[in-house]
Amino acid sequence: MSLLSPLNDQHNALGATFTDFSGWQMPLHYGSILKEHLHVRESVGIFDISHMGAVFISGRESAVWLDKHLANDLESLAIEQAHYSFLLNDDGGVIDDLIVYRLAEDVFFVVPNASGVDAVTNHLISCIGEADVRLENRSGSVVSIAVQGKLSQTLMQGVFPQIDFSDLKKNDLKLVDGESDSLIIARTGYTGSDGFEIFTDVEEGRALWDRLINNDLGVECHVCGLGSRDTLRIEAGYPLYGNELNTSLTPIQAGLGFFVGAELKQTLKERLPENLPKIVYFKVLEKAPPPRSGYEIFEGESSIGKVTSGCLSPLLGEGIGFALVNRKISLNESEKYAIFIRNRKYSLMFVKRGII
Amino acid sequence: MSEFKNLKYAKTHEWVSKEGDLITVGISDHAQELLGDIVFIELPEIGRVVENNEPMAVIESVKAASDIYAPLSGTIEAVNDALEAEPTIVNSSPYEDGWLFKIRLSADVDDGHLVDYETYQKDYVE
Repeated sequence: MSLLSPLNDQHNALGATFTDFSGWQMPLHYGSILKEHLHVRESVGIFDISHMGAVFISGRESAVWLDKHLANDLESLAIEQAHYSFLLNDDGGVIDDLIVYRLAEDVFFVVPNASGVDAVTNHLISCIGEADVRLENRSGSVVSIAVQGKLSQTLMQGVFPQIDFSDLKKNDLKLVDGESDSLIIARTGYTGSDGFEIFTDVEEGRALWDRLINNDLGVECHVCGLGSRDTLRIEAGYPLYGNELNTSLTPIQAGLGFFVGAELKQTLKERLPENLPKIVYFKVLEKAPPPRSGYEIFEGESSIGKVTSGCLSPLLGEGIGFALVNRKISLNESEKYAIFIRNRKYSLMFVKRGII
Repeated sequence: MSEFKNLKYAKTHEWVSKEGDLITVGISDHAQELLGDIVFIELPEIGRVVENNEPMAVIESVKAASDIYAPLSGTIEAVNDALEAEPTIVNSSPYEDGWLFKIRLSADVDDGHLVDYETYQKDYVE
């Protein structure tokens, strides 16, 4: 039996096609993944991401404690800001990637993946010991909505006229009073377009979903499912846990060393100086079928790795994606590498991640 | 829309329209709906000899690649080139503009495994 989003009835009414994602029945699309993708790039779309975890951490020692147990440097995280971080195992492998929202000096909101909620909460609880830290797992009873796209600020400004969004910069957040609960509104997202993520209780969340769709601003707000969320994040060059991240790869191998505190980064680099295997980003240079997870990548006659995520970019029509490779590669070489799809090779180039 | 109710269907969701010993093949409306947005189609080469039930084309949607099977044995006589540039035609017009290929049938082909529209709907759709 799948877990259902608090917005499930609304998805049914909107004619969603569902998929199972980490034990949750979530909308895959509401008619067309491609259209939903392009709406985000060209106007604005909303996603139900209530399957994501919702863990509150508070207490006098919570900042010092979190800094010790998560990979990114928490000292640098200001109040009312969010940053990307990791929970790592003893070998530096990624147990989960997550976003940490600092709501107050000693109050944090942590959003792990749906698949990582249990691992993250169990691990963190086992680390509390005598520390003055309280952890509250509210996953499943928080409605999380991502408002993403070029026109997202216009839509948000119309729905929340009391807030000035023009001074809410990327990764900033605001706490806002609602009817039944407060709302965390952050300028974060997973699409590569401008956008916001909103977290609140079930009642407030259901009402907000409808308000966004039925806004009277003349902004057409499109509902989007996890299908386009995936193609959008691939275009943006963002990793997905289980594909580009797992317990046997360090964040450095995943190409995400930027989000690891300096000291830990140094330790991880010393432990694996070659930094292999590692995650890289590619673009297919010919008209080819969509690159999919598991397809092999070649340098000349030797297989050097496999695709971990890929798609035909809805924006450009070109094959793009991530691969795990077991040897050093060079970027922007157009005649050296190829992807093997069914019975033939298509030339491919490794590039800096993200095409938008 | 052509008379899709008069077409024959394979259980793997291809439709077949027959004129003499030449058949035109596509996929059913149900199949295109299940696949969702079609982003790539790989069609067989003209002149290729195909056996009944042989995988000989691939339709790729955003999420998955699906084989298309030859509904009857014969030789590929034509393919729908327009689909290369615009594969979503199969979504918008599965029975007309979105046809996939034509097969010149081998002699004495048995089409007993193909079913009519009602049977297809009853046994393979619902």
